[in-house]
Amino acid sequence: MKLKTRNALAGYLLALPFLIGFAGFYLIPFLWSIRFTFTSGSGGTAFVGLRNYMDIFGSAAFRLAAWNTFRFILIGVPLLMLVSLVLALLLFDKFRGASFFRSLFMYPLVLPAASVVIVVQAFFSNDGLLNQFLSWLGLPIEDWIQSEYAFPLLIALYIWKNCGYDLVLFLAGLSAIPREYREAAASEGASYWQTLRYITLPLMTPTFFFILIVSIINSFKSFREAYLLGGANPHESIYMLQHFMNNNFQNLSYQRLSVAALLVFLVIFVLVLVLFRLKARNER
Amino acid sequence: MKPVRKRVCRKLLCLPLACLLALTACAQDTGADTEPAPIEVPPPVEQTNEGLNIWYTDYGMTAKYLDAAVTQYNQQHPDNPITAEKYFADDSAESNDEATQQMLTEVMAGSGPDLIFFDVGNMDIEKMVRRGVFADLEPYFEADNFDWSGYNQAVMDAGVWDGHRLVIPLQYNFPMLYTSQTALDETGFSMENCDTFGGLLDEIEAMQADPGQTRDVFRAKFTFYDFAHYAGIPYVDYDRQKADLSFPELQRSAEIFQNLGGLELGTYDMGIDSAADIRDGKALWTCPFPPVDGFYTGPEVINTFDDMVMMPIRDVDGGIQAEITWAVAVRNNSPNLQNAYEFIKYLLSEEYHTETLNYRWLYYSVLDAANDAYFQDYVYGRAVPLTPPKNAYGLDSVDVRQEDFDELMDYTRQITGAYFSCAETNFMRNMRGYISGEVSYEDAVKEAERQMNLYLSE
Repeated sequence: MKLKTRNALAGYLLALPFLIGFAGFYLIPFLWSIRFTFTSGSGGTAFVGLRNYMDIFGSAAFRLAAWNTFRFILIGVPLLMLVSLVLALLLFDKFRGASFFRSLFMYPLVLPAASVVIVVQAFFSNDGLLNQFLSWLGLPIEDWIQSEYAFPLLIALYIWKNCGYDLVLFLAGLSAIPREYREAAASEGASYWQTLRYITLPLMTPTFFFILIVSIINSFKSFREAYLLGGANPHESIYMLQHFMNNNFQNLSYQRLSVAALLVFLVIFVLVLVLFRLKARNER
Repeated sequence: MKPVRKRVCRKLLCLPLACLLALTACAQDTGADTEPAPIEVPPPVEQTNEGLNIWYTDYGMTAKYLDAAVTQYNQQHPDNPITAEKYFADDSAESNDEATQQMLTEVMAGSGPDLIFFDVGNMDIEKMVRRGVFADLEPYFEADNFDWSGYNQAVMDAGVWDGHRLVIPLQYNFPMLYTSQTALDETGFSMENCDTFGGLLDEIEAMQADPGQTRDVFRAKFTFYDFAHYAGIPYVDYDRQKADLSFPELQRSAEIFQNLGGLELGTYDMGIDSAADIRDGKALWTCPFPPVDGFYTGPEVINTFDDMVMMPIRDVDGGIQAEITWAVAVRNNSPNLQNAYEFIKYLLSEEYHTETLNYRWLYYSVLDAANDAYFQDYVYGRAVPLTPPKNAYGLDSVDVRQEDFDELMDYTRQITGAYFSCAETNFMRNMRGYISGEVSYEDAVKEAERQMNLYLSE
């Protein structure tokens, strides 16, 4: 047997345990759920073609959930990256207490979601601290969590919870830029903003792409906070695709759940593919 | 190479987008004007009829029914026994709900028990019907020439959708109110005017508006909680996936309920204490729970000091709506449909009801003869007094009257429709903000409609 073939075989054998697990826990269930999307009834015994897909697109709940999820990503992810980048630039320089502040921004990441939600409810619920303060001032109160303000509240929560993670990634990206580049630019008379625009940010492009993808994935995890805040049927401004899928699971609508999950997968897949293509083009 | 790869890449991106656009164009948003599609039942799988699997928990009374049913059926059918899997929930509602959800997950995945038993309000039957979860047993009933006489037809028909018998009701309840003649005369409440739901609302509003009135209309708020269903108001359309809360009866009833005071539903009317409150002028109407035994231990006691009067809550058309409290269905891909039919037939049989009469104190059986038998064997002429001799209310034990029972059974025959309750589409549950006084009716109903529309379109 040729050496190349032997090496390849050895590689496959070593990877076999992972491949078996991946196939058993991810690939096969994924393919099974795709099959499920074309059926109806318990066990998916009846083939119905694309009817489930047409039903999903005709569902007002799905359209609302898709729009809210898209809106959340469109607004939340860029804001999160901007806030994290600004913080990273501020904390990159060494000053007294820099380590303390870096640790401080990491704390929200390790806090349990339920604890965070309790605090949010203590502030923003109908009888929360904010309403009590407004009432004391004689101003009208609002059920912030069960109103259109729930969306900005969730965005703020998402940014607050995840900015520490992106901060660390940005700091790592900044550290990877050789100091000599900045020193050379400074010696040539470049200002801080010129250095940032022409040296720092372009060299951080790979970091940006990575953080963008991670932030989009993390945005789907905000369902946990949204669910704890608003329940299975929250205010319509924070009714996301995960709510739709979770509720369909509770109602045994597994075909609709599978269709929704597949569509989410396809959208993320296309998005990541486009991002990688752009990154590759940028690197060329 | 690069231009070819670019073209391939663009095609890979454009193809799914084109499919998405096509599907979006084909998708039809169900509207009020569109005729809903008939309920489709997936065809049955290949039948083997090797045994039958059922699953139930020990939570609630239905476990006792099923314990007896399995034992007796297996004794009679030793060659084709039932395999019963019983989950012990240890009296925990949460444990019961979790186990039930897991069972239903298995059913939807294609395995799980052949039979699915429903307790009151624990599943959204209407949604499950439209998902094709259940098998159509009508061909089996027809082939067997099943004799439906003796069963409450309106209740049994609640399990039929577009000619498909998908759910078989086993027990039901319906709203009956009881009071004394003296209480009626004192309050001026006109029963003759309550031949429709609107008439009942008129009488209740008049009583609530009377400043000289000292009696509460209902002894327990829970009596009026499900008024939207009692009234037969079609505010939820599962086929068109729309809720319509614009019916004026809903607003009138919600205002009445709010005037009953507070958000707490209060205690149930359990027995002689409700009769005592009517005697003592505290309330006008009582609605006992459990409805079967409660009739004998509560309203009948009124006869010891006055004339007991009974009246159903009628719907908007003058009929009576019943709530299905226990039912059974067969999962659509079960290979044992014939065996499932035989067991369900046994559950409906007079023989089974006779064997389990001692458990029939909770809800009404769909078999009229079973309700009669329970009254004759367990209530009428019983040696032990129904009312404790030394009770705190100074009430004597009653000899239940045949004519009262006959009148009650006559009302069961006036039932014109039945429903499966569902928490997510319960009108009052979605109007908590209004009931607690936090928001106006208009805002609350707008939010309730939005929530229900979202739930129905999921």
